[in-house]
Amino acid sequence: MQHKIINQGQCTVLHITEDRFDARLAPEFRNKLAELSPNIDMHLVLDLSQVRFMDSSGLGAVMAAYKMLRGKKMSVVNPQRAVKELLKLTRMDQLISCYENVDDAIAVNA
Amino acid sequence: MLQMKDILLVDDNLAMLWVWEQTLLKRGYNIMTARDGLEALTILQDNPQIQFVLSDWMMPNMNGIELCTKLKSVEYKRYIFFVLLSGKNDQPSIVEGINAGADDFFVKSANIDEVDARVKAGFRTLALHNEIVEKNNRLDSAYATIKKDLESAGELVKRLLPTKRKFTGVELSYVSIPSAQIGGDMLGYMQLDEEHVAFYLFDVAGHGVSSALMSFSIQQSITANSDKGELLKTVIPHPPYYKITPPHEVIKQLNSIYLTNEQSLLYFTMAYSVLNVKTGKLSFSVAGHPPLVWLHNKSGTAEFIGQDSFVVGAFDFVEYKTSHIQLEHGDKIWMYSDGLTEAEYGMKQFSEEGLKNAVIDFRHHPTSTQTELLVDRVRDWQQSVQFNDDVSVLAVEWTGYSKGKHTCNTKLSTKVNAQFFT
Repeated sequence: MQHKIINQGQCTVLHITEDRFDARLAPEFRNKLAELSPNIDMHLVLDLSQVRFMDSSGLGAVMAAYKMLRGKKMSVVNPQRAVKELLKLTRMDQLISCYENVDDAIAVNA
Repeated sequence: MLQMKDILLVDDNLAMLWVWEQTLLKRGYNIMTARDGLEALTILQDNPQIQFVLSDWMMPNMNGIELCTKLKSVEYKRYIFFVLLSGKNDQPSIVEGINAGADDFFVKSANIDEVDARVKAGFRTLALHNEIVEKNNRLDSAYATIKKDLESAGELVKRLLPTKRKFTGVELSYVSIPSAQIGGDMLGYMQLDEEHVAFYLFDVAGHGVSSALMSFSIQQSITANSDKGELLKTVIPHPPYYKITPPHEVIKQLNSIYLTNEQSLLYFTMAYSVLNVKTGKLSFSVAGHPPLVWLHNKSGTAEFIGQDSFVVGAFDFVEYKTSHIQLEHGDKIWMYSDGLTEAEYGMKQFSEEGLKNAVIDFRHHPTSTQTELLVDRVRDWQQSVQFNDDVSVLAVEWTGYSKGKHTCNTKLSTKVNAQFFT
């Protein structure tokens, strides 16, 4: 899984630099999250701006991440239309806030 | 594995042959001899256990290089460790030998301990090779077994699909295609009582064995009868002693049965619906699943009817809702899994719009053929017969209810009711 991690104070930004977030990517994403989550202070920001397609396994991985965070905030930055629609269809947009850019997401904790 | 000790010596010089034979026999090897390359080939054919060949260079009929080339060619299906005998520092010959595929070179005048050490090294290579081949064979046979198991599992799963295509007032057709031998999609329908037909479609996240097993289990939960009654019918204390469980309740119960912990990525999306075949009143609930398509028979238009709602089996706090619509005679309801609309061609997807158009285009065909027509259209569009995800689609037409046709199949409900009356 191609990705970048940036720690910004209370926020951890995980930028997924892949265009498909699918069954192939999901296990790796989950392992990465299991490794990251104890060190996430308050807020996980998932930058999905490059993800063009997310399938049910990808969505499952995002839901698992949400559960793994145990109440810490999780948000998504700039999802493409298909991803945004999937989050809305499954009401995950009620649990995960959506921001236009990383700065807006981080500003929540400032 | 058997201890490998067989060596084939090839030399036209009888004296040399004898010297090498005696030397190697003393070191405990089994030796066979040939006078030239052609004879060597015959002996190898008659003795399939031989994998080590020690050959001279210059020989009549077929020389050492020709023999080596033959034994190392792709057509020769046996792995042979091939050693050429050469004079000391015969550089050009060694290069030619390497090009022909020889594995080692023994100098004719070499010391016996060195020869023995090199022969042992050759047999070590052979042992490694044979071990890998054997492991590969075991893997191949394990794979064949798994594949066969999956195929029979796939057949079993197919048997869970409904066989009936018509109930009084309703006509149905469906297609369900797993992307591999077994998949996570499942659909079904059944008569709940004289007036109600339930139909549903669900899609377990991912595909493969764990998704298929979960899908199998969900199908059982939906259709099972127990002492407490059924999921789809709730027991009540007064006649008729049951009531049809509203769609959102069905899904909510499934959610609590299949609630997983954070370790698991398994969940499913679902559309569940109950149609009153007398009145055309349809109630439905959708959980994280694509919307239904409602084809209006009279106007020849179609619309999506969906609900934004959580998936099933992921969260314990969720609620689902039931919506109601009134069908007209000839109206159709389509349910499908996203494998259909997300079929890809290049960067494009077949899309919900593509589906809606197809539903409208096919509306005059018999309902029994429409789902097949749709799947064929998607296959043509993506220019491939194979789908990357499980694909399932179900079409239900409300044909309406006339008084003359009172031959309902009440088998499913009478069985349960009988239990309640006792």
